[in-house]
Amino acid sequence: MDRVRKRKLINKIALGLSVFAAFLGLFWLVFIIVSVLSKGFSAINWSLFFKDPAPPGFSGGGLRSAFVGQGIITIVASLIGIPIGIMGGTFLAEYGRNFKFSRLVSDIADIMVSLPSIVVGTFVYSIMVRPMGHFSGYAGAFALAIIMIPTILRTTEEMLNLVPWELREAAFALGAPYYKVIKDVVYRSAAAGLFTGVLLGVARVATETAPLLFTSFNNPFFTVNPNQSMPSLTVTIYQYAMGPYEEWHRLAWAASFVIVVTVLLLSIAGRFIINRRFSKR
Amino acid sequence: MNQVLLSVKDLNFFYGETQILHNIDLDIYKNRTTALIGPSGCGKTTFLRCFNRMHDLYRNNRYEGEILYKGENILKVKDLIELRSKIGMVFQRPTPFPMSIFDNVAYGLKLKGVKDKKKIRERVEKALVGAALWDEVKDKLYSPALDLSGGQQQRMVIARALAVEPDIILFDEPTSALDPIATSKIEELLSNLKKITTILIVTHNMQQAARVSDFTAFIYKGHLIEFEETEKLFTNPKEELTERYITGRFG
Amino acid sequence: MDRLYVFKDRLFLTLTVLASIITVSIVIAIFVVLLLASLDAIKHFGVFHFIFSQTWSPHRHIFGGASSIYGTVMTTIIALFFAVPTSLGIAVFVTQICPKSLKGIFSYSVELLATIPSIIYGMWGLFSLAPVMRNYIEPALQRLFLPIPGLKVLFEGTPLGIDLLTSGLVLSIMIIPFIASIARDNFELTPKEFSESAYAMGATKWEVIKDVIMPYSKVGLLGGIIIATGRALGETMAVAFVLGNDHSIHLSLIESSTTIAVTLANEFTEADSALYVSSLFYLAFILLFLSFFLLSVAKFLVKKGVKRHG
Repeated sequence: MDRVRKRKLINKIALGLSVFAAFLGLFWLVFIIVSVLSKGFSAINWSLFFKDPAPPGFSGGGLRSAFVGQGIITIVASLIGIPIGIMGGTFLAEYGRNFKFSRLVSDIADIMVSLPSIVVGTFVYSIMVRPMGHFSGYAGAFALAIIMIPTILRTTEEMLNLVPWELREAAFALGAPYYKVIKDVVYRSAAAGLFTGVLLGVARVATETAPLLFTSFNNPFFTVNPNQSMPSLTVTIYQYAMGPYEEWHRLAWAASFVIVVTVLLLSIAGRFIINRRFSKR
Repeated sequence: MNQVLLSVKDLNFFYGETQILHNIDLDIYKNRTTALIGPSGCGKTTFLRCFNRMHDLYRNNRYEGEILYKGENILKVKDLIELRSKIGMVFQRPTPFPMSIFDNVAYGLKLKGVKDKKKIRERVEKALVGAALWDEVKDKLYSPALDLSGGQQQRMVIARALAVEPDIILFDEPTSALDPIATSKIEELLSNLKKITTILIVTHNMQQAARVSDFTAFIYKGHLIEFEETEKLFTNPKEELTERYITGRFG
Repeated sequence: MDRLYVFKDRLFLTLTVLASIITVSIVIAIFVVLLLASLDAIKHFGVFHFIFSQTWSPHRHIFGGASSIYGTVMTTIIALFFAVPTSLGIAVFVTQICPKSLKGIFSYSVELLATIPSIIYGMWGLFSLAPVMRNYIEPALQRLFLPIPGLKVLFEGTPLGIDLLTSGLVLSIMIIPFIASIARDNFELTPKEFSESAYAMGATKWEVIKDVIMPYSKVGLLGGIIIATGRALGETMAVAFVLGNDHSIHLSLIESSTTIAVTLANEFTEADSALYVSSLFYLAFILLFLSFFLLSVAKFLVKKGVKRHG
């Protein structure tokens, strides 16, 4: 075979392999989503949302307590994480933009985003659960907040950096103090981006499991008191999936279905906001 | 008669170790338009931004000398918020804030603590009329300012500056991002504005300087080469450098 | 009035400074707290001995981290083995082959993989993937590789689907979107003139990719792969479902094992002695240290990659 033909053949093989890789990626996505949707959909019914778990081995229970617990933990986590993340990001992009310290914080936050979440769980266990003597929803929320902060901080920083400097100067030139420039002009200009960042940050922690295992732990009973151990959807899925009962597996699939559908919707919504943002002007 | 509003005395400006402006002496006359011209990088914008201490937003800057304004040296003023509410500024590109047209124009008033709704409305209308924009926007005052065209946005920004009734408005190449029609509207506006305020304008366009200004300062490499009534400067410059510049032989 | 502005501005500034200090303090606190909590175990077992000792016996109060560390490293290596070629293929497809109209939707689909929570990967791995591995893939691999003397050890044992191979595969799917998106970004940063001048010399598409685009992007790519490695090391839930929590070291890929994260997830709340808990913290500290180190290196490389392009 002459050289050129050989080169062309290698070209075809290599490109063919990359097409194959691409479809392999799609295949996994479809495989996962179809599995969850098909196995979960049949398990969805009203009692899932409105009934508490039945005793082990009995059928007919739901996961109301886990939904509520997950919601409370996520809300408390957001109340801690969102303000700190946005404020921190604001410092990096505004007041502190010229300081070396800010670059350091930004880099560390970047690393924090990818740190193992289970390690955060052990940390919160030793500073909250152990001193308090019991698992609690607050501990779970704090662990999730720690994971949320760097994500929101970094997106805030990036979104604020996209706001042109002239706009800030124009506000300064009217005699605005810096905090008003930020509040009235910078935050407003970056509103869509900030919102998406917060949405992604919350969505990310709302589906975390590992940091909750030894912070909020689990609770077979319905509770709205974050000072006790609290059930969550994700920890319940883990417990149920690893458990021996068919009924538990069914509920775990149902919960997975709800989570996947929610995550997909949120991510499509986030995408939509970003697209609209960039198509305008 | 020409009445002095601001008086620049022996102004030097440094960016880090580099000296950008050298020993500038200049008077700005009340209700007149003064144009700053010169090749790009000559320091004219840097000079303009000394008047409202814009350089203070960044680090490593140093001023020497005086800009006297009502008996006070601007360069030594502590309260920049107060200072900037009396000296307006309009930038190269339109800078509409992400709020309604009305809120944009009222923004400076709200900063000053004006609470009276009726008074705010009056001043907003007056400013929009002054900026020749009222007729175009009076029916959509509460729609987003970002929906206006570029030229309209720039006139709205001028209205925003006018609303606080500043003693002077600084213009930094206000038409460089606009099309010819929008530019001519702004130029027409500039000629009318000096009835109510004083204008200091940086422009890279000599014809524009000739059309809109009463006085022109030619700046070259951070030095003030010549400052004269516009007509004299363009018809009969004293300095050879000025003549070479306005006849287009460099820059 | 202006005084009020100054006061409020100071206040706002202080709040933002505090928020960024809190962020950094958390990281420092995590290191300090985990180190303190593991002191007991460090004193008892030392550093090298703990890392290389295979015995993990709560009854005899002897703890060695080797089995967890081995599982962590092996699952990560398997994950990279599958994920790196696939991700590069995806990036090549998206940047060089895919028609423009499909590019957006395709990239987005791959990114969707990253938004699926790890607990879902775990569920799916246990109930959907593991049976396939047990019944089809692993027996097939055994038929293929058991006759080959050198590779025999890697595929010995009864296929259960709950093992290193399945875990590595699940992990690989989780990290594909990260590597693929970083690879795509880096490929797109390659200046057009570079690839065009290679085309002009008669290079095939693959030769342009291999000889121009890949070398040009290698620093950023390496950074991306290391970030993915950091993520794979610390992933808990996806692996906890399909690895089996077995504290013994098997060379075979179709044997169960454990990772640091999985050991923590399964044993932390059950640990009944101070030394046991301290040993678990010790493992957590090792994991933290490893990931932090890897991610810092990756951060440095990615920055360097961007700088070169910038």
